[in-house]
Amino acid sequence: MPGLPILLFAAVAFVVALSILVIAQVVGPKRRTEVKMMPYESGMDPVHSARQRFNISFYLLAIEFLVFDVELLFLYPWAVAAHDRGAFGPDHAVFYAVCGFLSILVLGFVYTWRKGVFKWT
Amino acid sequence: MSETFSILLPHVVLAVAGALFLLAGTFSINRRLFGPAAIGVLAVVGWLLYGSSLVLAEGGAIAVRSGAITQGFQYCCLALGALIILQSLSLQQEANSPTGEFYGLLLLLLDGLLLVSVANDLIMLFLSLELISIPTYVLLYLGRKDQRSQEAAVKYFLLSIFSAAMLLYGLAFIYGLTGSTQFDAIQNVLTETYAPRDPDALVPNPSILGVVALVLIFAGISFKLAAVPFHFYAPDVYEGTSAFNAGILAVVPKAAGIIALFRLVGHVTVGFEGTGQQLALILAGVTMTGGNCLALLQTNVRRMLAYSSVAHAGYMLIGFAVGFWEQSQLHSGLSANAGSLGLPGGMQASLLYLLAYSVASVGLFGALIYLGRPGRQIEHIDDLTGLAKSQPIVAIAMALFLFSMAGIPPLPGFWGKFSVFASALSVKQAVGEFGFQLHPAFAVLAVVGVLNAAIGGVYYLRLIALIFLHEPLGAPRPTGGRSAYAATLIAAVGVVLLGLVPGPVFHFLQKSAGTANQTATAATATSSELP
Repeated sequence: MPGLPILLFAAVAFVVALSILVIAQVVGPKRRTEVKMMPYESGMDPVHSARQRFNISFYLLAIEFLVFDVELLFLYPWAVAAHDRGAFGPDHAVFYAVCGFLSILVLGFVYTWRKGVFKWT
Repeated sequence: MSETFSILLPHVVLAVAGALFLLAGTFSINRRLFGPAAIGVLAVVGWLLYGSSLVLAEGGAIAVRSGAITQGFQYCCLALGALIILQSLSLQQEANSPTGEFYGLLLLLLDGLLLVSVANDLIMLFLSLELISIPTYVLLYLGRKDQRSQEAAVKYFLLSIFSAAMLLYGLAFIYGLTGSTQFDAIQNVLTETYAPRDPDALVPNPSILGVVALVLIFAGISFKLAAVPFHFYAPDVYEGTSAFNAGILAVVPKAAGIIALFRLVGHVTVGFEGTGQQLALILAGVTMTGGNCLALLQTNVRRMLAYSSVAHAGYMLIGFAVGFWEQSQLHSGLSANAGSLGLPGGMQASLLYLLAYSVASVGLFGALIYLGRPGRQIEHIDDLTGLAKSQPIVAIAMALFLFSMAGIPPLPGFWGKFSVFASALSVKQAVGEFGFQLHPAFAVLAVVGVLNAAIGGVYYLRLIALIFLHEPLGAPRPTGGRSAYAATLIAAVGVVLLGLVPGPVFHFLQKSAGTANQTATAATATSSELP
């Protein structure tokens, strides 16, 4: 039966997930304070007027996150294409091209770091 | 692969240097080193460009292609870029000023300008235009910190994005029409469809898709040129930002738009020459007249120069109207005989005009930078009253630039206007079997152009009269620094040299125009054999 490994995998995943939930529910200690009942314990107040300013660092951090998120998305098709070209191709052009791309992103990352985007004062 | 890389190498070096400047700005390095280092980078890039010009005459068709005119354009860009950086040396020396960002973005912007001129692919063209726009947005924010500057930056940002979207939409239509993004491939597809060499072949009417694409592309590029229906941002942005940024806006996007049109016309417009000719004709006429008439009413120096730059965009568009006509002649087998007068053809005339305009513009804004102070720039034209008494040398340099822009012989502005109008008058229309006569639309355009040159003369000469014929209202205290002064003088020397000895430039443009036409026909001949 060809689908058996997938079925097994799904079953194990289901059992593990379920058991974690059940064990946490049964064994875990529960102290229900007001702060702990909030959806985002250490973030912003989730329910208030939407027309409020918030710290500009959130934007910068979100953009930084987005850049690397999209970069990862980009790397998957690149990996497939590079594999199709016989690992890296005869002249390694595919490899060096992506190295250039990554180094631009790293340069940007270092720039934001030096500019103090990751400091929360 | 390696040939492509050898064309790209100078651009890669420039981009990497720009990124390193951005990064270096975050470390505590002496601020005074950045400007000279940036000029050094430009020198290195110029040397690399010279090397790559030895490697190839006609490069690989992947995304970039270099040629004689492109090379000349790139050297001019580097020289003007060095002048612009020289102007800025004393602007960025406070301890907290974002010097690294400033020079890094300037280098990236120049890289975009160089890349536009070698782009051989729609995507490459669009990306390199964006590489100019995006640093410009940031530079507009870095220039001044007050509310008007913010307004100017936001205005430019939003309208520029809007125009980039229109340009992209137009390029997408071209792709939809031809199924390719490469200029050569597009040219082949369009030539086979609309201008086949077989005289018996059935030529379809130009598809509405191509007409829409051409209109959208013109709209996108007209924003960069500040041509009239898309000029509304120019005066406000020039007025709101610093003299340095206004100088950049007056030169860089305009050069980019002109060279982008130069790349596009003849490659992706085969079969749509009629539409392109009409568009360029109307835009040129409206832009010249609108810009000049509105400039007459201005009392703010930068606002006046903004409208004058609009008018100059109109003169340059005349050359492209002629260029469209020449291309249509090329495909219908007739030879465009604009060269018979010893003058360059339409688009080459526009490039000459662009060169004359850019040198004068850089110099003029350099003088404004020199005369201004950080908190108090030259705003009202009365600020320049009697400048000849207090700053005679700068006053003479400014007069040279203004005379050149007005088109007084023997300055380069005159040669630019002369060749543009002459190219418009060289357009002929067939009458009967063998007779030819002046094309009425182009004749009218040339007359409108000459009238506009007269209108333009009024406000340029008014400014010159203010500088030379009046007593100073107050003693100006220029703090722009010695480097801005030097840049202004260099530009003045350039204007005089270019005006007195225009022969080499004429000869170069004419010669390379001839080879460009030959290679274009050769490309269509050889590429039909390729799959």
